[in-house]
Amino acid sequence: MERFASPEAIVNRPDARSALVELLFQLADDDLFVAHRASEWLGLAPHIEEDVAFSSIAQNTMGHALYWYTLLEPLTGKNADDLAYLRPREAYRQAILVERPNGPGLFYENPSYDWAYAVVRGLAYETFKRIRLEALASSSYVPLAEAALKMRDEQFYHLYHWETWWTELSQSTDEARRRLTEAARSVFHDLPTLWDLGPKAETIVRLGLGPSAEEIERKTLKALEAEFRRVALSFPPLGSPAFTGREGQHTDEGWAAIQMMGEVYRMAPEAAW
Amino acid sequence: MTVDRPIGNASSKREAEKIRRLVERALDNVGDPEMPAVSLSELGMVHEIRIVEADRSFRVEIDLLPTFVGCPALELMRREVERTVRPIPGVVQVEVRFVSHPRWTTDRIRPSARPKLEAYGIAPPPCLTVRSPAPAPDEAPPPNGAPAPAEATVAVGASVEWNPRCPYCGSEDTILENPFGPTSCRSIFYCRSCLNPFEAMKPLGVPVVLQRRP
Ligand SMILES: [Zn+2]
Repeated sequence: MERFASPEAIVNRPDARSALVELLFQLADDDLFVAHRASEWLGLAPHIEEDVAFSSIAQNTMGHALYWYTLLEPLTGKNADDLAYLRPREAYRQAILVERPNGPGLFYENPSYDWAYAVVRGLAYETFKRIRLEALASSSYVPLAEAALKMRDEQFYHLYHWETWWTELSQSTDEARRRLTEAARSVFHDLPTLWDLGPKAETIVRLGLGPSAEEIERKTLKALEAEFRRVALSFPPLGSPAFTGREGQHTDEGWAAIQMMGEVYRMAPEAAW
Repeated sequence: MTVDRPIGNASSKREAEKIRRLVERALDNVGDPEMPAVSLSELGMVHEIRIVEADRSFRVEIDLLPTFVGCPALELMRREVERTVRPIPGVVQVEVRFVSHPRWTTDRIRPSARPKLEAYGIAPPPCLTVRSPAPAPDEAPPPNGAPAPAEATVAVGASVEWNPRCPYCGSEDTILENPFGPTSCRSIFYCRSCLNPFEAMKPLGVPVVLQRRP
């Protein structure tokens, strides 16, 4: 398999470059959204220790998003902030699961967020992310492979965090088990949107830039099944969402979040912070 | 690790060597913004120093390894390194880059940093030796010569529980309170012996598992 050691090695290969850009946007936009939805919980989490933990996960994850956008800079000729905040709606590639709101309301106005949903989505996403990072550690694009290894070390703590909540809540009250079950049904409706690779899937896999959707799906489901078995909750059916986000279709809530994230930046993109 | 670019004649070579020693000494004095008790060098964050001759003066390029990709203190570190290295005579330009290969792991921390961290109130990360026939190809050799004395030996593929010693009383009867602390690289433990909470540097890239509450 051909290896691409640097941006220069791939930037003049239109086929390879466009597939890599597609994959990096999936990685960057997923982490951008996970970090944003996490940050909306700040001050609303069940207790202060959780505020510390969840905001730390948000900060690390935003760091991962920024790193992916930075890898996109030499491939697109744009800077990371513009890539994160100034693209049109159909250019975003995050999965529908990560753009779903935390619950009814907004963080500044009548938030009625569901902690069970945060726990199950956290568990599902971080399980998927661990598997994806481990597979990307052998990407044919060397800068991507190196970044994936580094992030995997850090992400270990994120997954541990959600596994702890998942275990403890599932062993607590009937209400907790009922709410986890309901949240799991919602999360699993959107779960297949995570591993979809979008319109360039064939090139991504053929050039070894990233793992196939089938591989990630199989490993993620296996890991999640083990989690459900461990706490004796029944494994919910997978949904078949009309769109995944990887093709550029998004929910209105997802688009509203992007507009909010970029609101200040768009006022004066040239300002130094 | 330090690598030289070809530098002209013997006298400029001597000059470059002198600058390198001054840069290394300067970096020994740049503290981590969030743990000033230890320097960036002691934390194993300095990957490569290049002294490049530029028109009878020298440009210094320094590659640093971020502890965490999204560590918000990276810009502070960059500025502090530039500020410290620039006044060295003969240096006209300082360029600090953050690189992700080799990746920073906690076994890059120098043995000399461990007692300093402990005295500062932060338990150092576990120091492990993996019984492995050969290092994995993507791993960098341990920096700065002698490895730290190992606290435990781990078989390939196995892992040990992270159980730091309390920096206040030395007890090992400690429990993990929160893997997340005031900075990305620290967690919160509780000492059941002296009843104090304390911070511990997260092990990163070493075979460790976290305690689970019973
Ligand atoms: Zn103690």
